[in-house]
Amino acid sequence: MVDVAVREQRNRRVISNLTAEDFEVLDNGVPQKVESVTYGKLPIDVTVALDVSYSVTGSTLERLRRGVSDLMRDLSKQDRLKLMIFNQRVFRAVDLTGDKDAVDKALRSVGAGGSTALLDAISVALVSSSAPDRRHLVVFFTDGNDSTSVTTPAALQTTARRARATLSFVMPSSGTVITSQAVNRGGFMNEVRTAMGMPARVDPLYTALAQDTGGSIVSANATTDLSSTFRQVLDQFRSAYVLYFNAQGVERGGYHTLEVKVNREGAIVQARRGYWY
Amino acid sequence: MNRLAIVLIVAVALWDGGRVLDGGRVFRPGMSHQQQTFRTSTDAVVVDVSVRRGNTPVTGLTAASFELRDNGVKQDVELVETTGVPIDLSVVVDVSGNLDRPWIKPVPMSKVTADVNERVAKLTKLLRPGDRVRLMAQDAYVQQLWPLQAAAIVPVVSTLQFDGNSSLFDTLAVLLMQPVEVTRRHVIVGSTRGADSLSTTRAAAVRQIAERSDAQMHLVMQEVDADSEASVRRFQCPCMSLCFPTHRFWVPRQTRLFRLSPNSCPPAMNPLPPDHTLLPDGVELKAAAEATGGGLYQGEVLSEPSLHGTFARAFENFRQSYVLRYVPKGVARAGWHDITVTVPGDKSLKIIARRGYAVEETPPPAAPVAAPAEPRTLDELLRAYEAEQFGAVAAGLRAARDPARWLREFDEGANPWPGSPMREAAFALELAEGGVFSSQAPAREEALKLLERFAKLVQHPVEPEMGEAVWHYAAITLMQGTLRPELVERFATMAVARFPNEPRFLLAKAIAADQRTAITQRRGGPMVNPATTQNLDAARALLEGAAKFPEVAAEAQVRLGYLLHRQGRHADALDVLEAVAAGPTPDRATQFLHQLFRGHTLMALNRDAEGIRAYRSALGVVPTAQSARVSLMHALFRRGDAALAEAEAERVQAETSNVFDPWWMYWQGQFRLYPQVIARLRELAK
Repeated sequence: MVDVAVREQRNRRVISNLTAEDFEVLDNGVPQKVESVTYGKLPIDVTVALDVSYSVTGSTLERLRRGVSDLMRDLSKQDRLKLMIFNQRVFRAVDLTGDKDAVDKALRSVGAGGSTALLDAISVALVSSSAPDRRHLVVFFTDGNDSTSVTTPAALQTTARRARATLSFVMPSSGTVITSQAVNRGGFMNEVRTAMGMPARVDPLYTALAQDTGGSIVSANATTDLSSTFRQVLDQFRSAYVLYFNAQGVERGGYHTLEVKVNREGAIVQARRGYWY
Repeated sequence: MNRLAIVLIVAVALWDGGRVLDGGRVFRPGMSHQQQTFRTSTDAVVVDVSVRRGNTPVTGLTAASFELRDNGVKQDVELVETTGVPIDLSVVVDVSGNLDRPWIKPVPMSKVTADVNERVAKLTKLLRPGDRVRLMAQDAYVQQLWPLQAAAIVPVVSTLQFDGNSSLFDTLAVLLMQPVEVTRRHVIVGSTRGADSLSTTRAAAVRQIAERSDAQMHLVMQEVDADSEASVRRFQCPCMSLCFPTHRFWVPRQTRLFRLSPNSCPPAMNPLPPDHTLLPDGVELKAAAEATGGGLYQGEVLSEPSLHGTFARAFENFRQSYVLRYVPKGVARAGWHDITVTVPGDKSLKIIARRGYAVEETPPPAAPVAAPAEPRTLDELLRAYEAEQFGAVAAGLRAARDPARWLREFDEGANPWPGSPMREAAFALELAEGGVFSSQAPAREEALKLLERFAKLVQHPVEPEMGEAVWHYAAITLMQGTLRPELVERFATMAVARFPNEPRFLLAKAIAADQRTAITQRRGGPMVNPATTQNLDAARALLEGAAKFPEVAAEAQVRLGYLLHRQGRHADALDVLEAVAAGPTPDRATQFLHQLFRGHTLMALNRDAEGIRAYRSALGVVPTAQSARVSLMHALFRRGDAALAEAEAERVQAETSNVFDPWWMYWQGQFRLYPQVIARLRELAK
């Protein structure tokens, strides 16, 4: 099962009338037969993970609360939301639920402080189970800093490739350099540095994670309406095809690269880059 | 040698005109003001007694031969065998300069050190196995050239401060106040050209200290040398016109112990014999020496006593003297005790013994001073600290809006506890703690400045001692918490300079180097990967060095193993980590990290089953540790056990315990121990 988002390159509008015949899937370079395609029908489990360490405080935290609360209202009846919060510790504030009041209540009790175990939190969110007949979107709101995780970037990438969930990030941007005293664990941590109106230069790790899982990275500055940002991420995810195929002609076991093409001129495809058999 | 440290300790005891001493109390470095003075344990008083008939020592007396009275009350004495009691000898050499020396004639250091070494060599030949000796030199600085050590092997002095102004009284005061082990006797032998120009201590105070000291003091006056030095001013210039500018622009007020020989110009036909009559300060020092059972020795006609000769005689007397011990009965405990010792059976004998001792009554504990729950001024903070309301102190520091102001105020003020410099130093550390973690740069700067100043002030002027070591350790663990390895390095280096073989300080230097490999700090420029080969190699070498000391081997090996793992040397890492199990059980945090890093290393070697067992072992040490559970989750997921991995992810998210994960503080070194160390420091500072 592969989630695939297809858009027109020109205006990035969703292309929603494709069939199985319009798709070509290569599994480890071997063409596969797409058995069936669904569009926008499967229920969604959304995990929203909020960074509540010292690096995310004050009005930002308040905007986050509003954004998630509004996101809850955008979910359909079959969809569920789980709220995770993390600083050095990873908590589940609310388990998968459709209860908006429970989510609101949990958001009001969130306080900021502590260091940041971002990579640990991402790992836990990706590994956490989701029912096989539901699609799983994990959205992290974070400034990208990590100071406490035991997870290494390499281990996280391995986990991301095995996991079924789609991982997206909402990362704040500002006109000033964000500096941090970050602990390096073998990788090279770029600073997250932005200028107004320009896309953030994000750590390659997060870019790779988003691409590996078919997700995206969205910038949000101090004036961005986070409600519309979260809605944007959710809509992108919802407006995706789910392709079903049985892998043929490839070795079982191990990591399989995936390449998805569409027989439509001017279309761009966003899908995970592989899966673990 | 830090003169300020000496002034701090000595002046604390003697400030306010010596009023502190009127009650017979003496402050000793390393001891609280509430402890007793000289060699009185809870029960026994020990007195050295020399018995002579003329100049001949009298031997063969028994305890029954003596009558000892304590404040006039006869006491039951027992005799302690003297020959078996080892001696601690303190040798003081005067290396101060001649204030009138012409500036064109500096004395070469090689000559000074050769002279010192020769004198010491002669003296130590008189000592026996089991005796110890320390060498002090005095000029502007009170210098311990080398500390107490076995007399059989003494170092050679190759460098020292010399030619400065004299601080004789301070030097003698410091030595007289040295604590003496109950099973040993302390003898001070010194020579002087009879001048003091820099001391804070007065000669009268030296006498008062001597009366209460455990040491026996012998001082030799170098009168001929003194006369020779003075001749430049008193004879060469007025008579021979050999007038040179002296090498000092400013000549301080000088105190002399004895008169200098008269010189006249033109020289008299029949010059008068030298007149070295003791001056008032010399009389005080003579009384001081005699109060200890020793003496002040001047030249007889045409002969000047030498240090060696004086000591040889004193030593012989010392060896042949008696040591009487008794438990005072029938006398009030506190206060000054006059001691008189006689041999009733032979009143012609000359008895030399110390004249008395003092016992300070422990004052009743002061009523606790109420301090607010959250101090808002420095005074309130000090009161809370004094009342041991440390929670209130912490609350006040957390709430402080301008911590820099408190730090400056404290730094510029006087010691709130003049009788306890260690307490001041301990408070400075706790005050600085609030500053080093402040978000305000001025507070961090002031805190650092304060700590660097106190790192010098806590230095004991004679020998490094435990309170100083604990202070350094507290400062180092605090700095490790700031994640600024350059600060850790700075404080660890200061500590190692004072305690070169202290394993914890060597480990601290290693941790600083380890921090440097991992902590990225930006100050304006682009970020640089800290894990350079140079940094890693430096850290590895220091950790390997620290791992040789059993006291810190476990933690050093755990850190070394993790560093090797990070370098990709997984097999080497595992060898080091497996060696930890062979040593003594380390603290819980180190045990946890040991298993966690074993897990990482085994997984890197694709020994997944063992790696998973190691993570489970780590959870056995700290069951709620998120790092071990997340690591286990990854390992299970990698192995394809999705269900088990999901179960671990579930446990992570559901954990509500507040138990700290040791991994979270890994890069902060031994900051986890800071609360224990500061508690210890508070105890020592009381």
